[in-house]
Amino acid sequence: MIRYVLILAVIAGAIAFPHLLTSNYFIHLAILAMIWMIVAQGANVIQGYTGYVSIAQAGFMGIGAYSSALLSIEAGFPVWIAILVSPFFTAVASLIAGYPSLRVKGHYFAIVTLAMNMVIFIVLVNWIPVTGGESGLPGIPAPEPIVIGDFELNFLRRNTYYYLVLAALALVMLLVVAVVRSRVGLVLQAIRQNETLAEAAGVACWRYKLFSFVFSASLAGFAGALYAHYQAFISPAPFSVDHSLNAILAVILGGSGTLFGPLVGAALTVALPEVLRVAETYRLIIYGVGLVIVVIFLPRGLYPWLADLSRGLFGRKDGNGAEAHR
Amino acid sequence: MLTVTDVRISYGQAEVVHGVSFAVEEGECVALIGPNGAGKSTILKAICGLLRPSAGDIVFDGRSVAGLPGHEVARRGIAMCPEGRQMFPEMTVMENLKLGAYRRRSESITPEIDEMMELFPRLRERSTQMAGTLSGGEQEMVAIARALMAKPKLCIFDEPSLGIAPKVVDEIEETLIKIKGLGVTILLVEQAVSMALRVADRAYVLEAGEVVTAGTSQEMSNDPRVQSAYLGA
Repeated sequence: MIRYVLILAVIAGAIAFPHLLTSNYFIHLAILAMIWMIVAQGANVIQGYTGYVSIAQAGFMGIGAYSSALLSIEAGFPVWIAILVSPFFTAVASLIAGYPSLRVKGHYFAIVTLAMNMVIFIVLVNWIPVTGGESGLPGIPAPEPIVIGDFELNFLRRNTYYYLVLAALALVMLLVVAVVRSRVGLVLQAIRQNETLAEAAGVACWRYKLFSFVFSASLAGFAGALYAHYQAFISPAPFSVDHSLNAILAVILGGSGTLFGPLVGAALTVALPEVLRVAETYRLIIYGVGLVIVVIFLPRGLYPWLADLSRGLFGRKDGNGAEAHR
Repeated sequence: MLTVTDVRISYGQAEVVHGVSFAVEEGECVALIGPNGAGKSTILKAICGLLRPSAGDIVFDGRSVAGLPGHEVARRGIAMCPEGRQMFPEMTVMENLKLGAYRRRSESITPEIDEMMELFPRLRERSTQMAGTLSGGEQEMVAIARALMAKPKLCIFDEPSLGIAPKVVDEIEETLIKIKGLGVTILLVEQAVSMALRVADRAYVLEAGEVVTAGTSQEMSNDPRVQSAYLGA
């Protein structure tokens, strides 16, 4: 009960946000944070639920961003179509990349995906006729305005784009909840907890792992498309391995294998470096020390800790803590 | 039902199973006994598709299963209850049972769940508890029930007594006898030889990758070599 009240409060807060903090800077950060929440939620599916760490999420975000941008600039597709099609491009890329790489387990899988991200990055930098190389792709159009009578939604306006990304995030959350709560979700968690046993129970694990990998990559691709049409300009820089690590960090920080953890984690990975700007050159040191402290003292992540805390505050009797934040 | 013929298995260059043959007939309970390093678990891995034998064949229900991937073997009707109380620790007992029945995911599994709760009344009380928080004996029950949920033609138990309190081992023995009574074909791999011989109809004694002797459980318990090596007589 309290859980639903809190969820509603968060949604209401998110809707009211651009009217409460009207500064462009905050709205800009909120948009970036929500885009990263989508990436982190994707990483959570493969990392948190299936137990395979992928260090290629930013690379897949790049595939989504470039394919959507190129579809709208070069091929002349309407932006809406480009945004919706780009996750499928990412899915195809991740299907081809995932099929061989999911044959290896554990850390080796992580290393293969790391290499994958590097390959994507190198292609983005060097395939100059298509991607524009280091100098990037300028002039990416915003989604076409939606006109209903006198009422116009103009996505060049930051507020409107904010609501677009918020709606996209809500859609992604519903999708992920549906997957995680389904039998497929149960099987993914079974693979994380004991892959050999799942195989012995008759689960064709490779098929589920591949699904999980492709699904998570598609979410990253979708986020990439939203990013490209928001920034109007993309270069390879935000799609490097560093940013894949940020996605992993968001999942661990927020709470791996929980539905809301990655949202908390992604918000922090976007907000903290900004907040810490006052500390200037010490900012990365403070950031790093903070992360180490969280990982040591809250190994399950911030969200499970917050959930326990609120349960304590509201005095809800719930003997089964782990059940509540799945 | 299961026929293993002259199977040889190697890890890299090192051959550890040197031509083992045995058979399990329908409705039978057969024990595979022997000390550490005899190759018991290796043979099980080969049956379950985790290893490919370098020679020989494994035939189940008239068709070869040697070299099939693990999930295919499971779908043919072999359920494995691996050693060390393997379960899904962060799932409830009920979810563990549901996953055990994955092979039959299009059917209703309520009757089998009831059946398991009859067999293990303690699991009924614990059905919404995380499996990882149960005691060792209870976890072994979850592992056994999970394997049975698949309604297997053949159920393999790998060292169900390993690392479990002696008193609980007796319970497991009773459970195995009950399962046998249900008509399930069983391949039991055990180091607790006296227990295995009380449960099984027949036994094969494995040493250093070869079958050294075989016979009915009665014959095995009376065999002086088995007695001196395993039964402390």
